[in-house]
Amino acid sequence: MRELSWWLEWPAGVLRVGVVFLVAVALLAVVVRYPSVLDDIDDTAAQNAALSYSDREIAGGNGLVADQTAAHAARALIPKGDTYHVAVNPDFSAGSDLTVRYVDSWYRYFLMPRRPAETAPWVVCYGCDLGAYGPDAKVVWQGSDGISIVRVGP
Amino acid sequence: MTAHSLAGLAALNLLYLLSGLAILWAVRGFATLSETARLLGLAFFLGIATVGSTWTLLLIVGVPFGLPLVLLVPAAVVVGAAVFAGRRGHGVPHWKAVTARRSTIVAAVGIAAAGVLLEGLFRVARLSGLYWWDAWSFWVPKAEAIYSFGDLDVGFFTSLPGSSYPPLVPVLDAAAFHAMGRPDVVSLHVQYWLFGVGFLWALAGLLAERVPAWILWPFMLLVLVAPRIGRRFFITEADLFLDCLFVLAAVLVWYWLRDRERWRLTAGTLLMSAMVLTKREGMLLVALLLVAAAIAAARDWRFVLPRLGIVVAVVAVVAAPWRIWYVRHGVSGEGPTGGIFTLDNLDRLWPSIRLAFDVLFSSVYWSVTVPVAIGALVLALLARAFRPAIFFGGLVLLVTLGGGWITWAIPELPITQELGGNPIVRFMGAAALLCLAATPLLLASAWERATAAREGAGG
Repeated sequence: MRELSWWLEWPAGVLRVGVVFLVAVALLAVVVRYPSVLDDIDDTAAQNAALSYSDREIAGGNGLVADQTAAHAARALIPKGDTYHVAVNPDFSAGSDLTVRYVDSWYRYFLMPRRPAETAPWVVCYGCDLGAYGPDAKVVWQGSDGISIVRVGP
Repeated sequence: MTAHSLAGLAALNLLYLLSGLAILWAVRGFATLSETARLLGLAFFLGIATVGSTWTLLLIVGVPFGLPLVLLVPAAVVVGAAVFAGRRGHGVPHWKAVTARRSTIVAAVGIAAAGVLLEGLFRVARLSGLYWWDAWSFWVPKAEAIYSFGDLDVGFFTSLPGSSYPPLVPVLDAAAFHAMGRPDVVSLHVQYWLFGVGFLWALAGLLAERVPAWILWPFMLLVLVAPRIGRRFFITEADLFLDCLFVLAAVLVWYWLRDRERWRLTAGTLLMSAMVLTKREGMLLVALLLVAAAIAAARDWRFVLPRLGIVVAVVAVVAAPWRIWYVRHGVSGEGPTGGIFTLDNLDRLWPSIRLAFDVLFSSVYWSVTVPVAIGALVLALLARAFRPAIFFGGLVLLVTLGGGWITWAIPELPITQELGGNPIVRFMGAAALLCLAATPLLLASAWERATAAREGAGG
């Protein structure tokens, strides 16, 4: 054990007390937070493990796509080398508040390596006006909430 | 997540590690195996920085990015560095038994406590979906584009948000996809977990040179339990990765200022080069780091400034190709819309700076990190350890002012801590992580001087 004077002498002792105090504060913060952080990590790991394959695959898109099957159908139907367009009716009401503004961005990630294009042979339609794509437009998949996948042209 | 993906990631990260080890062997050499083990984390990060920067520069100049390039670059780095090490006469490290001391026991307890948290984070990472907005919005799509098309597809890249962001992180992700055999965005989180493990190892290994274990390990554990740091060591975004590069570069530059060992500045330069290819903020952080170094070493300016000038030149050469690429393709630039130096919006100046300080001092984000760092700064000054106090204190201050400048200079940014509206919380992660690295060094300096003062008085 150190003598008391070792901790009280000026200025070295005061510096030592200061160093020990700050290390103790950091250690205390770790000790207090460690169990809750560990619990939190365990809970998140358990939640992730309990996800269905589809929920994990869609992930951030779950708040956007309105219907998971539409995303999977788009992947299954649109060939990898093709282009597509996501057409969203501004009045589309299914999904969340974010769907109308951001669902096309999410498809851009999810449908890679298919590229988005303004005029494309495939349209992922969120309540869009199918008549706008001409008489050759063919609905190849129809889901709930007015979501469909359309093949445009021959 | 599949065993195949994890095996591929393991192989890729082994390549990073071998590349970094070869670089460290070439620029510094290893005396013992225990010293090599201590520096494994730094080697890992140097491997990522060097290999990743090389891949990125080759991609920008039009070399197709595929599995051959993914394998060829680290192989070339290993062979080149090994030949260089041989020419410099660096031998193979030898075994030296480690004696069990009290500090060894403290370090072992710290490593075990960190290991338990990291194991938990691995379980989170291996089955995590891609939830983070920026991750699915542009970081991962860029990586998928590089993986699928083998180049920087102009139409696709320029249509994405953040299109002027440098592509190092998407390149690293694309390399991970090649190693996994497919764009497995679930297992990709494990790559970021590995970045976290490597960073903690690198930081602890570097600091252990100068910091006693009982001072060091509470702060290494604080890295993991601080709310907005450790819990993010699996998120597939570039912010924390950039912060890790920045903090390791800062520690290396500080060591170089202190002992003038050239390998430290070389390693720091490799990390800074990766920083400017990682995010737009990387340029700002490198500039602030070099300014802090110049200020802290003002008395040795004849030695320091020419060498820092070389660092600036190297980093500028690395940064230039990407800037040329995006300007050539009509992407708007990285600076604020009103220009870098503007006197417009002066009414936003003080609120912006105050916002940056509010974030810095928030215990909600960083726990006790910043108050403890300020205490350590005061103790270092009392102990007359002026240079580390000026360097680290000055750098944290500069980064905070830099955060304030970002909000001030971009009038579109609302003055808010809201993550979706203003990047200030992300940016200030660099300052907080720096505090966690600097505090043990400052406390060790104060402790060392207190001990030296007594011995001096006794002698």
